[in-house]
Amino acid sequence: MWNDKSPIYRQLKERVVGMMLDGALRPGDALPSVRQVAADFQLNPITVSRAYQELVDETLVEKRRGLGMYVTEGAVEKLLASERERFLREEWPAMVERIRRLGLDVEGLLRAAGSAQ
Amino acid sequence: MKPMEPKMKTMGWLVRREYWEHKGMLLWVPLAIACAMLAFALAMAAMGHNAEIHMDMPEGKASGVTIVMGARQQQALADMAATTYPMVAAPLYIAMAFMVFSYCLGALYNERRDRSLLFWKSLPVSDTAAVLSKVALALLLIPLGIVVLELATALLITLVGLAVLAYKGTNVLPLLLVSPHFWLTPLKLVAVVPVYVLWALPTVGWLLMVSSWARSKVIVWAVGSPLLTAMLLSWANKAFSLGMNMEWLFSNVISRLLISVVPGSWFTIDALRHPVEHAGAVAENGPTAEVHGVVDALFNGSWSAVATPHLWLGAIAGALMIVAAIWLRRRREEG
Amino acid sequence: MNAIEQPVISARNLVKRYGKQTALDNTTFTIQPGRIVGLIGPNGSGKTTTLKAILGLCRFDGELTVLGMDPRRQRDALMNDVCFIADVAILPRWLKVREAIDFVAGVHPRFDRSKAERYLANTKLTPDMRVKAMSKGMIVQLHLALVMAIDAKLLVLDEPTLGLDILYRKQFYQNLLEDYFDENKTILITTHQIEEVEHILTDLLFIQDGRIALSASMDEIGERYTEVMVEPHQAAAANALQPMTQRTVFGKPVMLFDGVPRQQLQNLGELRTPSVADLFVASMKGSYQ
Repeated sequence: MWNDKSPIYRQLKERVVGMMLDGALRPGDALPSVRQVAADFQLNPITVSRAYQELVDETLVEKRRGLGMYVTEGAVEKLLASERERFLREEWPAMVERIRRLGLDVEGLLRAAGSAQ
Repeated sequence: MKPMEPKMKTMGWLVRREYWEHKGMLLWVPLAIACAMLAFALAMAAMGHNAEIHMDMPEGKASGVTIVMGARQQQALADMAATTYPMVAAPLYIAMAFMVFSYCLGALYNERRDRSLLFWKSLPVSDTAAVLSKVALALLLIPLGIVVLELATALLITLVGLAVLAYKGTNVLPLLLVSPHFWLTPLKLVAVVPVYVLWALPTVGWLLMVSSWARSKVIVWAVGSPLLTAMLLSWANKAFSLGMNMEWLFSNVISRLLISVVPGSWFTIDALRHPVEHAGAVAENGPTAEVHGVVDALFNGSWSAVATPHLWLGAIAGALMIVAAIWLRRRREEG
Repeated sequence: MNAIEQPVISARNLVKRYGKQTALDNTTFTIQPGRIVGLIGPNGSGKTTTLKAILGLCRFDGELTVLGMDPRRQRDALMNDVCFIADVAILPRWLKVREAIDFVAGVHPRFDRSKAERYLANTKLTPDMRVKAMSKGMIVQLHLALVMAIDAKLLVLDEPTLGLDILYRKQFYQNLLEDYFDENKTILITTHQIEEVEHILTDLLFIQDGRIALSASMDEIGERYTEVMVEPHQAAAANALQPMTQRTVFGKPVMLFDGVPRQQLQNLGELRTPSVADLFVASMKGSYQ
C-alpha cells in the first residue's frame, strides 16, 4: 500500500490528488474525516492531518469550520494545469530522449497512437 | 480524600461481583439443601412419621390415627416448638461453615490463578476495598443469608409437622402463633450473628492471608502448615521435655485458625459451655417446658463470649491477618 | 502550568532488579501527550517491567511521573485516568458481558455505558454470554469495548493482539483509531507485530537490556535514517560512510545509515526510508547473537 520512497503523508496527499484528477473527488465534495482515513488506512491521525494540511496550503482543499475539508472550486483545473506543466517540462522531454535512444521514430509513434484511439 | 458515597457504591459493586462469581455455592447449594430437607419432611409426613413429637403424654391418648392432647400438653408442645423450631434446619449451619471456609480459601487465590487479577487491578478499585468486600461476604452476608434461609426452612418443616398433628386431631398452631417465643427466638438467632462475625475473624483472616500468599496448593498451606507446626512442636515438646502447654496451643491457636467459622464453636470454651450443659441436664430430667432454658443458655452463652479475651484476641489477630492480606495483594508482583 | 507541555510520562533513571538480573538499568524517557508511542524490544529487555512500573504494579527505584502522579503512591487515583489491556490481564471466565459492563459502569467514574453498548452492537457478543464461551478474539472485543468507553488520558496496550487472527487484529486498531483516539489521549503500545502498528505510531522507543536504545519521533526517523540499495561499483564509497548495518538483496548490498545527509547518499544507489522492523533489527545487534 505505501512504499518506502517518500514520507507517507506525501503519498497520501498524492493519492487524494490522483482521485481529484480522476474525477472521483469533484469540487465541493467533502474529504473523508481525518479520523476515518486514519482508521481505514491504519495511519496515525497526525499523518493524515499533515497530508490534508498540505492540500490546504496548495489551495486544493479548504477547511470549512464545523463541517470538514472540501475540494475547492477550480482545484481540478489548477491541478491539471500544474500536472500538464510538469509533464511538458520534465517527463515529455525525458520520454522523447528515451524514444530516440531506443531508435524509434517519434512521429511514427504519435501517428499510431492517434489512429488507435 | 475520596468522598464516602462512591466508596460505598464501589463496595456494593464488589459484593455483587463476588455473588456473580460464586452464585453456585452461595445460592444453589444452600437452596438445594433446604429443599432436600423440606422434601424429606414432607415425605415423612406423608408416610405417617413425625419427628417433632416425642414426649410423654400422660394427659392424652395417642393412637395411630388420632392424637388427642390435653390443654397443658398442647401448651407445652407449642412452647417447645416455638423455642426450638429455629434449629430444625441446623444442617444448613454446617454447610455454612464449609461455605465460608472454602470461599475464604479461594477468595484471593483464584483471581491470581486465572490471571484475572490484573484485569481487576486495571480498574480504580483499591486493594483494601477488594479484600474488605470479600470479608464482608464471608462474615456478614453468608451468615445472614443462611440464617434467613434456615429460619424459613425450619418454619416450613415445623408447619408440616404441626399440620400432620392437626390433621390427626390436635391443632397447636394458634397456640404457637400466640407464644412470644415464636417471634423472639428468630430474633435471638439473628442477634448471635455479630458474635459469629467476631469469633470467626481469625479463621477468615488466616485463610485470606494464605489465599493471597500461596502460589499453589492453597489448601495444603492453609490447613497443613498450622497442623504441621503443631506436630513439630508436639514432637519437640516430648522429645526435649520442653514443658510447653500443647493443649493451649491446640485449643487457642490451631483451632481458632481453622475452625472458628463453624457456628457455635465458641462453646469449646469451658466457661461458656458449662451453663448450657447444665441447662441441658435440667431439661433432660425435668418437665419438657424447661427445654427453652437450654435454648436461652445457648443464646446467653453466645453473647457471653463477647466478654471473653479469647474472642477479642482472636478478632484482633484476624484483623491483622486481613491487613496482611491487603498488603500482599497490593505488593505482590506476579509474573 | 501549561497542561499541553507537561509530559504524560516522565521517567528518569529507573532501576529494577530481580535478584541478580537487572530489568531496568537507568531507563530514562519522556512521552508527550497526544502521541501514539511504540515501546519495542526483545524479550527480557525490560519492556514489561517498564509497563508495570508505569501502572504501579511493581516497585522500582528512580523517578517516574505518570499524569503528574507517582504510580507507587497514588496508584488508586491514577487508575481513574489510565486504562490498560495486557495479554495477561485476562477477563475471568465466569463473567458475563452484562456483568462486565455493569461492574465497570458502577466502579469507574469515566465510563460511558452507551459507548460500550454501541461498540458491542457491531459484534456477535450478547449480554448473557460468558467469557468461557467466547473465542480469544471475542474476549478482546469485550475488553476493548470496556476500554473504549472509558475516557482515560493514557491507554497502555501490552501485546493486545497476541494470538488473535487477522480479522480481529485489523479491527482492533481500526476501532482504536476511529472511535477512541483523539489529541487529548496518549497511547503506549508494546507489540511484536511491528509492521502492524508501524504506520499508526508517532514515536518510537527501542529498549534493550533495560536501557533505551532509541527514542525518536517517526518524523525524525525519516530524516535521520536512510536505507540505500547500493550499486555494486559504489560499495567502497558507501562503506566509507560507515553504515550501521548491511545485508544483501539480489546480490546488491543494502546499507543502513544513521545521520548521513541524503545528498551524500544519492549517488550511491536507490534511497528509501527504512521500515521500523529493519531499524529495530539493526539497533538490536548483539541481542540475538
